[in-house]
Amino acid sequence: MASAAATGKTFQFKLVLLGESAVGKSSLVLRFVKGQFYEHQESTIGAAFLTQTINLDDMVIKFEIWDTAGQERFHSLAPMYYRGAQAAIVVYDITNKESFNRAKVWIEELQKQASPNIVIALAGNKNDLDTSRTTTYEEGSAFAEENNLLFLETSAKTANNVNEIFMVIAKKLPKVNPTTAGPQRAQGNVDLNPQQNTQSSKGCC
Amino acid sequence: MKRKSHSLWEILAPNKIQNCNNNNDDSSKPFKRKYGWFRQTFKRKPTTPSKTSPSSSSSKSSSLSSPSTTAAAATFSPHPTSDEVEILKIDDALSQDPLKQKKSLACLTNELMSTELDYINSLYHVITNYIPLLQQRHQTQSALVSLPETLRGKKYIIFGNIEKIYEFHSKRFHESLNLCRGHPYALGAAFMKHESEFYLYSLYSKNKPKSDALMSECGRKFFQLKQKELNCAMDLESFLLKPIQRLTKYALMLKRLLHSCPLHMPEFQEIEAALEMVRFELRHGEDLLAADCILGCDVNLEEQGTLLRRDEMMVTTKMKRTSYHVFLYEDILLFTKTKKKASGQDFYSYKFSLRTTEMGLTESVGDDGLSFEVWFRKRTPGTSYKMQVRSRESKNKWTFDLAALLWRQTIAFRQRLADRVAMETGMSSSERTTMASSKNNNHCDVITSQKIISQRCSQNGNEPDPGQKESKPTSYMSSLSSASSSSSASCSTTPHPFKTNDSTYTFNYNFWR
Repeated sequence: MASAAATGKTFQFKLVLLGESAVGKSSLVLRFVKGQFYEHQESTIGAAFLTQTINLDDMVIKFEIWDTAGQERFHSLAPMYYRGAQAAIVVYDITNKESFNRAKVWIEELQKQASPNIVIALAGNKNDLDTSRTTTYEEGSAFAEENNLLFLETSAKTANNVNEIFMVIAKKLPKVNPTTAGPQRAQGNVDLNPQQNTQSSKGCC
Repeated sequence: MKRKSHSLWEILAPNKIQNCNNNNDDSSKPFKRKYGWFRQTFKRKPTTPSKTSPSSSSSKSSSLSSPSTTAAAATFSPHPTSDEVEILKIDDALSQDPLKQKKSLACLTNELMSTELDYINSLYHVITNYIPLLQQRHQTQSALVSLPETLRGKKYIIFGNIEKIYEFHSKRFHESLNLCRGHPYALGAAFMKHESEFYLYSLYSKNKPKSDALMSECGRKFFQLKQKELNCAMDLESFLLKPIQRLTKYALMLKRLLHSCPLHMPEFQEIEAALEMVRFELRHGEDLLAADCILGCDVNLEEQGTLLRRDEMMVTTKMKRTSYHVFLYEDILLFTKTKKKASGQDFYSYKFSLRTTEMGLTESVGDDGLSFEVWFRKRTPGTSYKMQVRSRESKNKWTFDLAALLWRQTIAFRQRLADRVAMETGMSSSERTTMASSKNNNHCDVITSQKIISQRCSQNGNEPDPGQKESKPTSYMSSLSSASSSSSASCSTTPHPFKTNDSTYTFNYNFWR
C-alpha cells in the first residue's frame, strides 16, 4: 500500500488494545516495546502510553500505543480510546473461551463506532499454552476472515508473532499525510529480531 | 438538596447527635459519600465500642431502631459482583505466599507513588504548554491571528477542568499518598479523605466527548504545531486522555490492594469504599453524559440530587410491559424511552417519573432473579412497577442502591424528627448531648419522637395499630416531615424490612396523609 511518494517519510499511527482483562494486552505491548515479559505481570503495571517505531521498507512507522487500564469495562470510556485510533488489536486468550466471545463483541463495536478506516487485528494470545487451548486456531481464523480482520496467534511470553502482528498492521495502514517531524531517533526503532529487541520505551516527554 | 451522610451508628448513637447536627449544614458533599457509606456501614460489624449504641442490644426503648438495623444488615449483605469474584480469582497462589504478597504489595505502592508524579507532570505539561494557546492574554497578535475561529473561547471544551484536577493532585492528593509510604493499607483512607474532590473526574469525563469532537474537527492540526515545537512524542489528545486513564488505574490498584488486604483488618473497609468510590466516578461520568441526552423532560434534573445509576430495563405496569431506560436520581426515578439516532448517538425521550421519597421497594419478585419492584405510595397492582434488568449483578446493584437511598432518606428524616422534637421540648443541642451521654437516658429523644408521632396520628384520626409497634412499620405523618424538612417530600416513611420468603425482602412503607 505504500506509495512511492511516501518513501523515506515518517508515519505516525495511534493503536489501541482492547480485550477482556487478563488476556495479555499489557504483556503484548511490553514485549513489543521493551522486549520484556513478566511471568506474574501485575494487572496494574503497564504504561499508559508507549511509543515504538518500526522500519517498513523505506518508511518509518511510529506507533503511539494506548494501552487500556480496565477502562474497557466502561461503555463511554472505551470510545474515547478507539475513536482516535487508526489501528486496534483485539486480544483474546486462547485458553479462555469467554475472552474470545468478548473479542467478538469488541470487533462488532469497533466496526460500528470507530473510524471507518480503522485497521483491526485479532490476536489469539497465550499460544504457548496450547495444551489448555479452548479456542482453536481455525475458529479464530474463520472469524477473522468473515470480518476482514488481520489474524495471528501470539505469545507475549515466548515473543511468538508479537512483532509480526504490529508489522502486518503497519503494512496494511494507509500511508497518507506523513508527519514531518524529521528523522526519527534510530535507537527507538524495532529490530524485528525478538532476541535483540530490548529497546526501551520513549514514553512521553 | 444534598445532605451530609452519617454512619448509621452515629445517628443511632445519641452521643453523636450533636456532631450530626453540626454536619447537617454541609450541603456541598455529593451523594457518593453516602453511597459508599451505606455499603461500608452495613458491612462493618457493630462491635467497636465507640461506634455502637450502648443500648442497642438490651434497651427496650431502642426497639424503634435496633431491630430494623439488624434486619438491614442481614438483608443487604452485599452480593459479590463479578468484579469481586474476579478479585478472589486473581493470583490465588500469590495470596498463599506471604513473601510474594509482600513483594507484590511493595511493587504496587511504589508504582502508585512514582506514576502519580508522572501524572502530575503530564498535567502540568498540558497546562503550561497548551492552555495558554487558547488564552487571549497570553497571545501575541500574530499567534492570535493563527488561532482558528472555531477554537476561540473554547478553552473549557478542549481542556475541561484539567487545571482543577492538577491542583487537586499536586497540592493535596500527592501529599496524602506520600503519607502512606510504608503503610500501603492506609491508601484506602487517603483516597476517601479526598472523596469529594474525585468528583472532578466525573465532570472531566462528561466533557471529554465534546473535547474529542472539537479536537478532531480542528484542534488536532492546530495543536500539532505546538507538539512539534516541543518535540514531544505524544500529542495533546494523549495527554487529555490521561485523567481518564489515571482513574481507571486507581481502580485497578485499589482492587489489587483490596485483594492483598486481610479481611479482618479495619483498613479493608476503607480500601473497599475507595474502590467503590473510584468506580462510581468512572460510571458517573458516562451517566451524566447520558442524562444530557434526555429530551422533553419537564423536571429540572439539576435539582434532583446526584444521578446514581441508569439502565435499560423491562418495566411491567398493570397489563403493560415496555422497555424503558431508567435513571435513578437521589430524589427521582425517571422513565425514558431510548431513541436511536442515525449518528449512533442515543437519546432518551422522557415519559414519566416517581419521587423516591414516596417510593417503596421489593428487592426480589418473580423467579428469574432479575426483577425487583418499586411502587408509589402504596403497594397495589395499579401503582407497582416490576423492573426486569439484564443480569443478576445489575439487579443486585439496583436494589442495593435503592435500598441505601430509601434507608438514607429515612434516617435523615428520623434525625430531623429528633431535632424537631428536641426543639419543641425546648432543649438545646448541648442539653440533648448531655442527656444523651447519660447511659440511662440515651434514647430519650427517640422515645419522645415516638410519643409525639402517636399523638399527631391520633389527632388526625390515623391511630397506628398498636399491634404493629413491635413488628410492623412505624408510620409517620406527612405534616411532621414537611414541617421539619428541607426536602420536597410530601411524605416521609420509616422502612422496616421484613422477610416474606427465602429470597424476597420487602421494604414496606405506609403513608399517613
